[in-house]
Amino acid sequence: MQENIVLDRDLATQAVNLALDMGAEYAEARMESFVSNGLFLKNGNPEIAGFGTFSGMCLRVLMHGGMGFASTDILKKNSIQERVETAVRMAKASSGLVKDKIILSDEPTHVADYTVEQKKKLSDVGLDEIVSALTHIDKSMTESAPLISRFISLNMEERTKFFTNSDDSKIGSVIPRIAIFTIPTIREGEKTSQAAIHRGVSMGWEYMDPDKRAQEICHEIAMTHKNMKEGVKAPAGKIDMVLGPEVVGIAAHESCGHPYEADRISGREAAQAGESFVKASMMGSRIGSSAATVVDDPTLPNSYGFYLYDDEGVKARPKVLIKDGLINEFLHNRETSAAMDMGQSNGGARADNYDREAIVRMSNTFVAPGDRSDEELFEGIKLGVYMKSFMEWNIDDKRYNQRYIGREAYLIENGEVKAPVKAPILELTTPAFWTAIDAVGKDLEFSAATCGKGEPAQGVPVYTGGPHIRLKGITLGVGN
Amino acid sequence: MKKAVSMGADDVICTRVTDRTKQIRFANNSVTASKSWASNNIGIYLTKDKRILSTDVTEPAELDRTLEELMKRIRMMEPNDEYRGIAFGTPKYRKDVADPAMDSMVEELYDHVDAAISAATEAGASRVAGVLYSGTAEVNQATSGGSVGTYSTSALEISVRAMSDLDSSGHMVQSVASSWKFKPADVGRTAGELAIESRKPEMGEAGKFDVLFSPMIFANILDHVGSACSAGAVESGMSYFADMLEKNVASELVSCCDDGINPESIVSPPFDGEGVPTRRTQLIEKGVLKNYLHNTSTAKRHGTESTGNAGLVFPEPWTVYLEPGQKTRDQLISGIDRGYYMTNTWYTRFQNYRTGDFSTIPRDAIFRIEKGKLAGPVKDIRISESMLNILGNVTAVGNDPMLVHWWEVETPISCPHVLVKDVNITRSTQ
Repeated sequence: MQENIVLDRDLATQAVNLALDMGAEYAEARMESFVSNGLFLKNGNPEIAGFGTFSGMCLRVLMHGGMGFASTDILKKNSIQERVETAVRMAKASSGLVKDKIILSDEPTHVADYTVEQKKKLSDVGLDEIVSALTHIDKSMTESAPLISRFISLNMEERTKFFTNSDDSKIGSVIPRIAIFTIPTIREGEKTSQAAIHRGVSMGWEYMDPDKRAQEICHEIAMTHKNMKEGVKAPAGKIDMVLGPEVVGIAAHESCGHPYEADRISGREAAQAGESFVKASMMGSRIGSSAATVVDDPTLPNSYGFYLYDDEGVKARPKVLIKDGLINEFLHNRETSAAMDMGQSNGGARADNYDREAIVRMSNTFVAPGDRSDEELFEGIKLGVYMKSFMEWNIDDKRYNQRYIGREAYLIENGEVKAPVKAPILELTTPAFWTAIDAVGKDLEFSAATCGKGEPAQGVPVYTGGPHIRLKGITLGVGN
Repeated sequence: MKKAVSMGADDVICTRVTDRTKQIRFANNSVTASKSWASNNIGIYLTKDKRILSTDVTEPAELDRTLEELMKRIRMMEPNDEYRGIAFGTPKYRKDVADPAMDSMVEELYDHVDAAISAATEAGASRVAGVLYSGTAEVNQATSGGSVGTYSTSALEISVRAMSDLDSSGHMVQSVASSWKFKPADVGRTAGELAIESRKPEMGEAGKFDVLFSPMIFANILDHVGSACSAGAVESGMSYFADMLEKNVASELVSCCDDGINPESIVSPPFDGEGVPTRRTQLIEKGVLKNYLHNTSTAKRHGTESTGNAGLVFPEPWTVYLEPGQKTRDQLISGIDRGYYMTNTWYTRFQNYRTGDFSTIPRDAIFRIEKGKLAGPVKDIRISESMLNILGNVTAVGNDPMLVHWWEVETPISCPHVLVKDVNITRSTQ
């Protein structure tokens, strides 16, 4: 059995102390080491396998209101000393151009260690097992529908972290993550369609039940093929819609999570991922119907976006972003919570690696379940569309105009699900989306995704999710 | 590399990259973070009986242990029957043109940021955000095919977004390999002017329009064109150029190449990921698709030779150049009866990479064009199109190329303004 990685925590503590000695008003160090394994199959061929143990540390300091950040992958005293000096020098050099002095919220000191238990450790899995599992899934895919081409990847890591800061917090964690991603190109006659399918969790190899994972993926492919084969044109005019958890999840992420990131609201991300149509002054105002409640919760056990302390050492907790249709809470780190006079951060700071700064991120963002059964959601819809999953999606950089195109979708006639519908387009504004919700199912499902943000871009693992929901009075969009 | 071969490996590539990069981020006219990265990495690519493994090592003392682990693991891998090996030969490489001054800059970087913010606000912008990068890297590579090479790179880049209100903004970038060419004030001024010109936008209209794309936005499209030319993308279903060699994929006004040897770009290494000298490869000539981008293995499968674009897994473009035309921006505008002038975009997402169906969301300054003149700013529209339609409907190419590389354009792209007819524009239905 592979032994757990032991980080030299003293080195991190020494870096923090050195920064303070050099005049920093605040300092933190985050040391990480992760064992990584991956395999990529292209059209059934094992294209390449990768593995390794990667380690490094970053240091973040505040000085004269400026923030300096430096990282290294050489965990030795002299290298770290040079990095500390550089972070302090840059923080100092920047202070003349810092018009709004950067301050961090006061937070309680935490001393904690936590580990996600694994029945079979990812670092103990042999490459032969990985090849066998992924090849099984890949082969099953070819039997689910006619495929022109395909690729599939399996990536897993076991990440050990240690965070410490000049407030005396000391937090260690070990989180394993495993993910499968595939895009098969499905053929029906002369037409093709693609399905981007992502699965991911924070747990050990026990997640990789090849039959079960193959079944899930093959179902998506078969349904996409059925839609290509039997799909009819989407209806015109105002209709009602039922959205499946996958679509509800992407909307919760794109149309609620992102615009509620306080660093977007404050303009810190303006030159990259953009800003937000939501302003701090809108707190408490109505954004949707009373049926809409959206939560971001990093503490869900084994979720893809799981953590118990964020990358600034703040204890994680669920955040209710929209409560009964009202803007209720934004996502914060220590910098934004101080700037917006929030008192304390709500633990939304994440970095995707030791060489990246922790910025405001989502974790597991979902529409909270309601009390309606499936039957209750569909009954009463005379003419509508059930959009179960999506393919193309995007949203503008203030998070106001979004578009989701259905992959698996069906006509609803007189309360019953009928023929598949080809590529229905939901293209509408964010308030229109949340206001159109008139009923929420009592189910709850999650999808794995990688959320991109920051510069350099950081991809963090997240869940998106929700129950089935019903939208009233929707005019579908136009394709190309 | 030699040790791996002595242990029984067939093909081996060892690449050491030492990278030093600094970044200054700013927003609301204020510096928000200053960062410095130092990384030292040795990448090992190793094959045995068509089984392929890769790993990275940061500590040279770990190399022997890592090679033993690689050789142990490779026995557990299955062969890749499509693998055709790496390049053989001992080529001589051209000299690099890195600017070593960039490594030592610290305080000067803040002067550049100050110049950009000041120019944008002097142009009328109320808020300015952006990022400045300064970086140098040294690459050493040896392969079992016989190549040994070293080069250095440098880049100084700035991206400035200026805002006059939430719906009115302008964005401009500059990327240079030599610091003396850097003009951050010009970048800030242009962004600031666009922010002012786009004040008080009206809702845009849906339908088919002639669209004049600025270099910033057409670079985003060409970024995807470059990726779609990779033989790896073609083979894995991620390219609308599959089965299209020697066929029309664009208007005859479109000629573009991948250029790995132009010193004006920030990405022009002397050799690729397996030691093949980089070169210029025509991708589209007068609308006809001429080449895919290859490494040695994909080239052999396709019955051709490597184009010197080897990445770790797939061939990758270095810098895509669109051949300029004759007309100025104003001449292009004057020829449009009813259309849009777009200056930037983000969030380009594909519905189907095989067909090229996608949508993207124009952002920053967007203007209506009426009877040959700019007729006021607009907002809240989306391009819902197919890549092959866009390329096929190019009706004019401008004479003002610029190098674009930023958050939404991963591969450096050199392109001028481009006019495309009948572009499908959609907007929210409610």
